[in-house]
Amino acid sequence: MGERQRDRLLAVGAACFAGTLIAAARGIEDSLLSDTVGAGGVPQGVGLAMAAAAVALFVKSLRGAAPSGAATAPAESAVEGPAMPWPAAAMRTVGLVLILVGYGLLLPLLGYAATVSLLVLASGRLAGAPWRLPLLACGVLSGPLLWAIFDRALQVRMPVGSLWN
Amino acid sequence: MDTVIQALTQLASPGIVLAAFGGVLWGIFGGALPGISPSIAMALLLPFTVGMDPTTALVLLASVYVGAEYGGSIPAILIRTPGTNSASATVTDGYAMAQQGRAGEALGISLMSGLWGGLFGLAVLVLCTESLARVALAFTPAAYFSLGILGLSVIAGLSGGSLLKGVIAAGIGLSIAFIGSDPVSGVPRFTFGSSDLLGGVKPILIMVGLFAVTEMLVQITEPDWAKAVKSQARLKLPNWAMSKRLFKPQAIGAAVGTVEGVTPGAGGTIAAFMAYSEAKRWSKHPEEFGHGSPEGIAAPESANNVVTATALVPLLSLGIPGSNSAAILLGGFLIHGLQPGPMLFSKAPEVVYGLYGGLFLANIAMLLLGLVILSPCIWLVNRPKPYLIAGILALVMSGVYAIHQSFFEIFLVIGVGVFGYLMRWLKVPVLPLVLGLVLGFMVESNFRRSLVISDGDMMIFLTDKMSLGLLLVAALLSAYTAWKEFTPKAKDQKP
Repeated sequence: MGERQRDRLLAVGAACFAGTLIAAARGIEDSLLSDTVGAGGVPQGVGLAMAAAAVALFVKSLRGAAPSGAATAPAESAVEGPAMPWPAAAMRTVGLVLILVGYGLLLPLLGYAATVSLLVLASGRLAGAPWRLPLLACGVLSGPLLWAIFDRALQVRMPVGSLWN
Repeated sequence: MDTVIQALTQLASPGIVLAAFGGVLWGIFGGALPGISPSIAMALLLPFTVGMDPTTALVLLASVYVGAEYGGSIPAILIRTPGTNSASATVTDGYAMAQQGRAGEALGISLMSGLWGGLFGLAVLVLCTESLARVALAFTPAAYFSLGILGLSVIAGLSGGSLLKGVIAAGIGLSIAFIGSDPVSGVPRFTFGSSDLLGGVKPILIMVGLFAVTEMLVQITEPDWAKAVKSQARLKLPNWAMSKRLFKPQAIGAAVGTVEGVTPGAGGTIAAFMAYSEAKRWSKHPEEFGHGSPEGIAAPESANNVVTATALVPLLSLGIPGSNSAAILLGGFLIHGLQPGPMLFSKAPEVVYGLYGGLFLANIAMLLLGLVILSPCIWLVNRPKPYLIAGILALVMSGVYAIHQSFFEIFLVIGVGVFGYLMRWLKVPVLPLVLGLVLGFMVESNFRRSLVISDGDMMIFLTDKMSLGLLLVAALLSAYTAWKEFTPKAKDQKP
């Protein structure tokens, strides 16, 4: 997708967000303690400013102005291997998100140590680590090690897991 | 003078010493890993600081910033891959020196220039911040509102070329700041019936999601970086003749770094490139630049280390974070119930002076650790990337739970990470969002307090002299940026 198409997509998304913000702000109930501006006043102003910026961005992208974007300052660098093609890259990114969501879901069930071990194994494998002893050792050891650091050394109570109770 | 003495007394505290050395060590390792910026290295530690004493926590975070700036130059010199953005200016001459078999000398120049830069920046921080904060102490609610608007007007400088995208990002940040109880009436807003959102969204969670989780989502698809050669791991400090030659570029770096550091939105990367360019202009040997000039390392490394201290001037005196790293440090203040700004000097002076002392120690720690840490850094850079990604994710997710022992916040951070990934794909700058998030409360509450005082008369913002002055500066800044944004000629002239 080209820069201008991305700008248009962003403009439409931002306009929708701004509209939702204004509508939600108007729906806030007034309180007896409220001032003249009210709880929804400033959010509505911000929503209007965002909507104006979104419209301006959309018009600018249609008029064929130079593509705008954050200067990420890609540094001259020496990397090994070619960049990953997009379908594989997208699959990997989605895979990592699913692993993280799985971590959040399993944490109360399996407890901290087991879930962290699974997280390290799954994310390491997804990132390209071979299914061999180093990865298995990292996965198995990381859970108990981090549990000892947080639960014992830092005294932060980490979940034990409802499955074991 | 009192400030300096109070700062020096903090140096005797074992906790501060440990935090400074530990933070620098973590920062050097983080900076040495390409893709782990100073702000990410700081964000990873942020959750661990919850149970710490505020001074120790802030010294730890600021020391990470100091260490990361030196750490970033290690892969820049050894493998032509800058560990941090601000080390990009070091790549050309640093790697050229490494190719000539002078890698140790280049690393020594980077270390010493970073040390002098860091100490100079600290002197500027100590001398300027309190005076600026004293002026801000006389602020009325109207002036505070205008200060917030001035803070938001620097969005343009933080937007990396698109003011409109910066405004959209800031709007999203402000919207997140609105979540929770209304600051005046206490009415719940934008909570969607969730009790988890009643207390608002903590900035630390947004920062960890936007900086750390997003970076891992990006890094998992990036190719591996090159490997460093262990035989290069011998650091050589500059001798007297070389030190004399480096004085001028280091001074140029210090001057540029001071100006860029105190200007919100400029930051270490711009400072490093400007210092490189100015050092070349004023050099007796400009033809050596790009082919292994020691001056081409000294100037940018001095500049980006000056910024580690001077970037804290607007944060500590006015409460405005001007860079990603300053925003993370602000998160560190907020975790401990401290609000940076003029009141900080009267409410928690020990924290400010402790931070000054800690920064001094951090620079000393950078020198001492820098002398011995090269081999471990090379070992770390050469580790397979999948293990680093897995390890960082385990730390991030553990840290997020450790903050409030909340399962909800884990999903919130994952969601923010995915949102940050989309922002990066759409080339929306992240820093205006953070700025909107941290300034949202200040802007809204003071706007409404001012109107309560004036019975709804908006003229209060123009009749208050301080407020008027700040609004005029904000208007000038915005007008200049808008002119640059919408005038094709001005845009084309940019390098």
